Amino acid sequence: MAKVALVQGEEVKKPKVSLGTKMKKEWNRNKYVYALAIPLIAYYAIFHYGPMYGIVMAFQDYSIVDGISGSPFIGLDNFIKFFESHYFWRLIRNTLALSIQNILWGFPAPLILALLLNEVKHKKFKKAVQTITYLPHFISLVVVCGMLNQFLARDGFITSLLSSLGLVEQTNLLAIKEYFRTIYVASGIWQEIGWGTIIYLAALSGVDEQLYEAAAIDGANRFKRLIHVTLPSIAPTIIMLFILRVGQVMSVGFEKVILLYNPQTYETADVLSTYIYRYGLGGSFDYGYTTAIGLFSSLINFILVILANQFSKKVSETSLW
Amino acid sequence: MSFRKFAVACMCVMLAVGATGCGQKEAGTSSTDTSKGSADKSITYWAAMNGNVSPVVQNYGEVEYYKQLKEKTGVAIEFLHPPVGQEAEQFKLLIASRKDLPDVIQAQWLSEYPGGPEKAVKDGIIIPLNDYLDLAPNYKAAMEANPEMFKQCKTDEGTIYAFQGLNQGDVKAFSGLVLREDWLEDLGLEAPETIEEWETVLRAFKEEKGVEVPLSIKALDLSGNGLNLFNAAYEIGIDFYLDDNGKVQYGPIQPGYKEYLTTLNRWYKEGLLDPDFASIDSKIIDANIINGKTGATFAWVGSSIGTWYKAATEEGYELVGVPNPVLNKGDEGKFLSGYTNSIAGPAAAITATAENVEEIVKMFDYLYTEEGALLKNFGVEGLTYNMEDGKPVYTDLILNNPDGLSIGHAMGKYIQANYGAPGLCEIPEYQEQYYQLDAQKEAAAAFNKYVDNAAKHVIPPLTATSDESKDLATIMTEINTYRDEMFIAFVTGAESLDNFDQYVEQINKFGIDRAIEIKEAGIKRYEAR
Repeated sequence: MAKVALVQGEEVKKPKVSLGTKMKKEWNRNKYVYALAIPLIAYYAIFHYGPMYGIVMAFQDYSIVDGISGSPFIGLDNFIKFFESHYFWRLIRNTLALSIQNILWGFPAPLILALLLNEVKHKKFKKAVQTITYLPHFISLVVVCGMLNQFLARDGFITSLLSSLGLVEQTNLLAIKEYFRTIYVASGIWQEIGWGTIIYLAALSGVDEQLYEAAAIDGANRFKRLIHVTLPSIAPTIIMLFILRVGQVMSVGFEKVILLYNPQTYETADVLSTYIYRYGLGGSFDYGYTTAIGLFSSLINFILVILANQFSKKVSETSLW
Repeated sequence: MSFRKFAVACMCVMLAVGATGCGQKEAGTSSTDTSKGSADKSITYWAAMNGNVSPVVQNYGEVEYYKQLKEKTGVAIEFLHPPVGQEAEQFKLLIASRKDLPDVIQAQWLSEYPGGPEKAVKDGIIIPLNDYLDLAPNYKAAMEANPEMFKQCKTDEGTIYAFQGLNQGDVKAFSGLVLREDWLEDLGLEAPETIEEWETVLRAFKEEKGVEVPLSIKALDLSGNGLNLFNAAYEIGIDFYLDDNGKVQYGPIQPGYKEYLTTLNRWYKEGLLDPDFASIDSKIIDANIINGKTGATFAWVGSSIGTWYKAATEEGYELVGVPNPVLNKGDEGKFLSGYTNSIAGPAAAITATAENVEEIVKMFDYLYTEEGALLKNFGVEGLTYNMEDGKPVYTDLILNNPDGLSIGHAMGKYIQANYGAPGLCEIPEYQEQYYQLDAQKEAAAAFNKYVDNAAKHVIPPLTATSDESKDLATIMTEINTYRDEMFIAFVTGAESLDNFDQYVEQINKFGIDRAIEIKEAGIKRYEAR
């Protein structure tokens, strides 16, 4: 990317060159860069932009037999139906609550672990901790949820442990709606914390050693070096990841929720994606309606990304674009 | 490397990929050519695998019954199976793609095709079979043998759209409530007939026997799966049903449903009903009833009772099946746990793109002959059955499988008897032998005790128009979620039963009236068939 920018900079300085020649020159110089970009562009075009025409279904009374070209348009009826649905507010509330709690606890966790690991000087210990924390990431979600179902059952080992400490009653913890979000978020942290540190550790390795030395000479202790050198140096990475995370607030994946919830915990556990799943694939196969809900949540995600970006631009002068 | 070289390299790669693609295709077509060349007609047949079969074979083509069917009819079937668990989804995708339809699609056309079977014919997915009935005299005769059955094989417009599994037996309910009979004897109690007696028994189990959870049933089996169990005592169906005047009613909003909830709530509070009933799964219930942690539960005559007897180690372990409870002693029950219609299971329809329609029709027609029924339900003489006194009797390959397969799985591997599929199903000779244990035979009799009464309250399989089915799906998806959730809340006491009226109000708001109206209209059309 840097090379492209550099080359463009040179081009601009040269006066009076026609656009055609300019493009030809640009192509000759950077064709390999373009060639490298082709697979990525193709990936987005085929798998992300291509299927987008399916959004049309959100405005149709879609029938699988007639297809997109044959189904009648019904305007915003699908959206109105969703806004008027009995579950609308509960779904929004649950999705936001689950997602925000996930960000609140789940986002800083790998950062903190990465910072701690960065301070560890004992190489073998560091590697061991990293390996152990990575491992859960590779366990399939179905297996993780199966384990949770076992461990959190009435006589499961986590339930027994917590109840012997007097924290919970000896009962099936997954049947209690107040605990659902905690279980969801905590198990998510357990599974992904190690994996999440990778990108931070990469950023941390790029921090200039001289800055630490200078800070040490100025009398900064370890904690102060962390606050004044390490954090500012990796701030752009943190902010970038945060903005991206905010962009997914409305899209809580349905797999884990479906594997963990039951009608007893719908009150706190039923989110947009599980509702879409039940409607789209579970019972009525109302693809038009569920597409409308999906589009609605994407729209909110989109707005949130832009807001988060603006905010970060103002506050920290770092932003995605 | 110049760009030209690069481009040449790219082209080479693409050509290579293209060439391999072509190569495979050619290989594919040539292989089908040879199979067609060998005099047999080859057809493709899409079907969801039944749970009795999927654990023992990879493909229906490996089932002995289908191998024999090829010998008899000369039609070679290539089966296409959707992955287990994704059947409904894959069926929709199959229809949506429209291209490359297999020759035969076996599915639950009534409930799964949006708009029902008549719509499937109108959409040009499957063909009506009315014109082909001359080629299928046996199927025609089998349908017409029973007027109710003939009605159920047709759509409202009179279209015969598929080859159905036609139930021949009298057994309508295959599941119900069971209790530990040996415990009842220990306690000097009779098998319970009324709700009150049930309560006494459960309390005795808990207090005198020290049973952890006297009654363990999944919440869904009590509310969402369409099974009539304790609700039957309050003379209401668990879902849509016909009341005494023949009008359609929705059980969960009847006053009787409140009493049903009140009873379960009391049992829950007293610790008679499993406190984990909302999240428990069948495996735990299996373990509990085998180990004596539970004294009463819901059971399938074939799969559950048989398995439990086999696994139980306790001396004198006995189970007894009882008819659904009633409110006052001497009352007659009105609902069976389930009521199997004259047609059951998936039906096989011929698609509009099928080429060898006549051969396919003739092949299916064979299943409705006596010989075909024997092949389907009993398999091959000498291998899976022997004739004794003019009656087919299963061999030990089925009943005591040397590889340790259960009866259900052994049947799945060799024949097609214990699950719904095109052909003559549930023939009496099979039913007599499938239930090997006395406890199973007695339970089946008990569960079917009020079969005549139940017939008056059950709604026959209806077809809805396209608009109706869309409305119905939308309304019922909302209601089912709400009902299942509120059911648990009421039983556990999370929601006070005083709020029952608000709950009914909410279900009315979802549009239950419209759903009932659709059912009524469907019944009217059904009667007129």
